[in-house]
Amino acid sequence: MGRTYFSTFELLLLAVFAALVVVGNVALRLPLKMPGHSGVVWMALLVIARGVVPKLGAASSVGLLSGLLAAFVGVGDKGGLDTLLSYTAAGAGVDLVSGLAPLGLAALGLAPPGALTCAVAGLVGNLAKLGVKVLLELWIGIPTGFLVLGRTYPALTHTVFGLAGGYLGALVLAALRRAGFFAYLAARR
Amino acid sequence: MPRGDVRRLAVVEGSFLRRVDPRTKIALSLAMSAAVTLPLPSLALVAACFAGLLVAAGVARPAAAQLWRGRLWFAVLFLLDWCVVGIAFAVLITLRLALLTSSFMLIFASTTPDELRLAGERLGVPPRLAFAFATAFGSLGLMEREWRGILEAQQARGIGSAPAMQRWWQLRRADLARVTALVVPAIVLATQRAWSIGEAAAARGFESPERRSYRVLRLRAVDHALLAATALVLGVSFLLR
Repeated sequence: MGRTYFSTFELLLLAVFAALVVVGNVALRLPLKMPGHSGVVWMALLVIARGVVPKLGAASSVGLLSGLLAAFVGVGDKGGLDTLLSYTAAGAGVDLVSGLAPLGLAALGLAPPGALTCAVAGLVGNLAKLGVKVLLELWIGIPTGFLVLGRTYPALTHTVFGLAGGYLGALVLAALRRAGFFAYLAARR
Repeated sequence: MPRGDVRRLAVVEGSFLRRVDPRTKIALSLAMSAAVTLPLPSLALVAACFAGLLVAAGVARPAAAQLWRGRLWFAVLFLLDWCVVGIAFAVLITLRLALLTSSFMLIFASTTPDELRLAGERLGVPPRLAFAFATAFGSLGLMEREWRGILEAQQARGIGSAPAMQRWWQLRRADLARVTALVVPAIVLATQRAWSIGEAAAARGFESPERRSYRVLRLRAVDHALLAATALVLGVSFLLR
């Protein structure tokens, strides 16, 4: 069998992370009645998935798999397509920042990516999720004025919770590193 | 933290869609999603045919439940469109939104994850990715139980329980640190789970190049009939434009 991009263990790890994302979204919610607040745990898990499997496409895979799972569980009030696309976009957003940041930072001669990169990845992921909803609404013909009116406040809260989620991801990755998790993981790979 | 339950949408076992190939259902759902760009008369025809299909297939109830969840959004948008633009536009947008919201219910209310995995493989999704999806689905219940266990264990230690925040600006680093105490054990348990599944799959010859699927999907007469009917309805609705 030829070499594959993700090892079987990595792929299964991403699959279990996808299950965690859905469970986290349904079963573990911060007591906040605000749009985008689910992004705290969600973006944290995507950032962690990208940190644990440091390959381009890791967060996107988690996003795609969790989108399919969420659609099967019936999460979301705008149907399966919206759920699938928004989950996938969140993963792709995290992947994009996590993939580009090291290149950009290296080009600028700055330190390797850390908590700030994770926070920005969470921000982009959470905004990508909102962006998909806006694009679908534009697609079905909802006037732009209504969208600007209705989506300005959610954009602000998605920004805050996305940043918080990304930062939470950085905190968890740091805690895992301190606990020797990555050495344990290296032995498993 | 308030908690809900992770429950799968019930598959409507008596539905004739259970005998339909998942690839046909994917095609139907995509066609319905694409139809939202049609103008009102054509859209009304497509929506009426789609509603008829949902009723005939016995999946109207889950589709209605899905629409009911978004009732506030539908109502606000309808009223806003009616007041600002006009009733015809309000009906058009509401119909488009309803069709987009319910189109994928065809798949999710009548297909098991395993059938979707097989369809994915037939559509060219790498078998390993399809297997990962099936694994993720199978892990939902376990992950939920483990996550709840972690939550209760940490709360018993006085970690993880916090006064409810009312506003986002009350979200502090300490709150995130509290959530870290919940997420770290979940990550470790998830890793152990992935490792044991990987070992079990390898022991069963998952990576073998000789591996064959035990069930192969084939398009049957009902699939061809449904695809032809969809093409006919979409063709007529495009002519109505």
